[in-house]
Amino acid sequence: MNFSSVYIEDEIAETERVIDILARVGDIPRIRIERYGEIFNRAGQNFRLQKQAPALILAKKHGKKVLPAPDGYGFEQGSGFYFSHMLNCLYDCRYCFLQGMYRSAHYILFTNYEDFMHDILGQSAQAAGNVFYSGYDCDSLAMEPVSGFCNSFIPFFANRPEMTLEIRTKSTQVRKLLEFDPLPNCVVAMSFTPEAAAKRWEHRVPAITKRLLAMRKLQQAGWPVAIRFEPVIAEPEVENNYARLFQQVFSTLNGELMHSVSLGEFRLPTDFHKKMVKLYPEEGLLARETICSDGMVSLAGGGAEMMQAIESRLLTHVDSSRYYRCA
Amino acid sequence: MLGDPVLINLVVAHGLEAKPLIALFDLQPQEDSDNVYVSNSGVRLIVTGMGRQNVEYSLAQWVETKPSARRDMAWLNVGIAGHQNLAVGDTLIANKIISGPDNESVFPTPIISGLRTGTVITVDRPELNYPKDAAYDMEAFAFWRSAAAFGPLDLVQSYKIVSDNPDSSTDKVTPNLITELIDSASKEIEGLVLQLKALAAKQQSLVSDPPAFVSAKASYRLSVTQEIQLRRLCHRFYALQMGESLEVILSASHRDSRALIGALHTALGHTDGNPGREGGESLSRVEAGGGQTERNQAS
Repeated sequence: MNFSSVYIEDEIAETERVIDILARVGDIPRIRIERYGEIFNRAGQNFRLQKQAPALILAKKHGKKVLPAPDGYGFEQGSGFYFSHMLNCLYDCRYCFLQGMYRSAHYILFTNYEDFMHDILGQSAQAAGNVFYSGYDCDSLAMEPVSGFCNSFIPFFANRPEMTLEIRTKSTQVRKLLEFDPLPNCVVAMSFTPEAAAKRWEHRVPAITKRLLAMRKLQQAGWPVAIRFEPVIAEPEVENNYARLFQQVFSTLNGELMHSVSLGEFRLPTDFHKKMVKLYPEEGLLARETICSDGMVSLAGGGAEMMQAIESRLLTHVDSSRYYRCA
Repeated sequence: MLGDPVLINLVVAHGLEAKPLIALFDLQPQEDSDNVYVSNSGVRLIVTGMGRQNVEYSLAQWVETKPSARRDMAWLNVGIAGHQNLAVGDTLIANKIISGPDNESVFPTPIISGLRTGTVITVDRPELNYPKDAAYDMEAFAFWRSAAAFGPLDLVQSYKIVSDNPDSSTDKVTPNLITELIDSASKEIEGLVLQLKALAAKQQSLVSDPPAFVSAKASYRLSVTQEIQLRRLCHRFYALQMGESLEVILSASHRDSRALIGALHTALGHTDGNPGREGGESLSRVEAGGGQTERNQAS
């Protein structure tokens, strides 16, 4: 895990967590800043250029820390919430909406975890939904050796069995999780695309076999695991590619013990797609014919028929009670 | 060949700093200016004069006289500076530049590898006491602000060579020393310029008009909207590895620009996803070109 530099907000520079993190990032330039927006939100930055040498920004999250999950995001179908202790991801997936969402490719790590926990408790007390998703604006586990996310949040949820945490990731960094007793209310959800798509578009992401082995370790240790087959990208042989992926997944993991599986088609907000096209004009995926509807872009050639066909194949491996379609 | 595209603008305050760089990059005076030099290898040098006002004025003037200049060039400020702790001759790339008088900060993107980084404080008068662990100069802040407003923020960098410190005061900074310091850093400067040029070249290639578009633009009368559509369509053909199809379509006769664009849309609409499923967006309904050509022969 290499960062070109680390920016540190003055307000949190002397906190114990920041001091611990700095000890783990190695000997890289340290730059003090007032607020992360000075770096992250500037106009005129180039996400693609920065992705070549991203920096880590240690910051304090102000304002709302827990937000309603987008419709159809998770297994609670709209009654869940998400929180982002990080913004941006170590990986470089060409289909990822983060490229169109942020001006900067630097990683922000909000270190005031206790404030997130406070807001999670507040949200839980107010609303019926008790499912909290982590990993919407980042990969929750990829930076675990630096962030220490699990050390803080696993004990927090262990003491609150009425709440559920979903940790969404593409990382194989499960060692820290395995040091804890498994929590029935903590679901580790791994995203997969078929091998051809992964090789083409998921740069720096661990191989499918390695990720599956990490998931198997978690499942064998008693952790609820989930699989997110997202994003489904229309391409020739897509059904056969998914058939092979399903075979690989369900021969490694026990489908009957799986918390849930989901399918979600490749979709992006129109504005994000436009920005991504500008960043990567030579990328075939972003040059394809698209369909725009309600401010969202999807690929021509995909749609309900393709999803139905893949769904049918998936349901031969797993009971429909464990399945949902991500909107 | 002065017509080569410029990839990097070097900015120095003083002629003494410029002299070794002019030799290093084989720069020639630009005809219409007494403070701008260009090379045939994509390097331009602007000598601004000392202090923030001169930098702001010179760069504003340069921008004013070059309204059509590319905006995707790199900018590199090279200059001498005092430092509290570094030895004379040591160098650094600024990762934070503070305006001394008002304490405002800007942050060059840490995109350069392999060099020492540090804070630069831009002051209005030479700093003789070096109160902080930083480099002290008189231009970096104004340079960065001005250049970042014009070029891509991530490619605006400031490089400083230490000329004085608590053990070696500003009195010892002679013209000969300045030349020696820049000469001794020339390898590093060359490497830095190469890195930035490569990044700028990549950026320029991404936003450049595809050759097929340039040729089609010369052959058809295009509205502004059609020009944007055609440029994007050409990019898409290349991105989809369909350059040959593009050539074939462009070389065929099309009634007019609308027909050409329709033909390109149609060709793309039939390429995606699973054949036999959805056939592409409504663009596939656009009629393909055909019949007599009405190309714009004005070109």
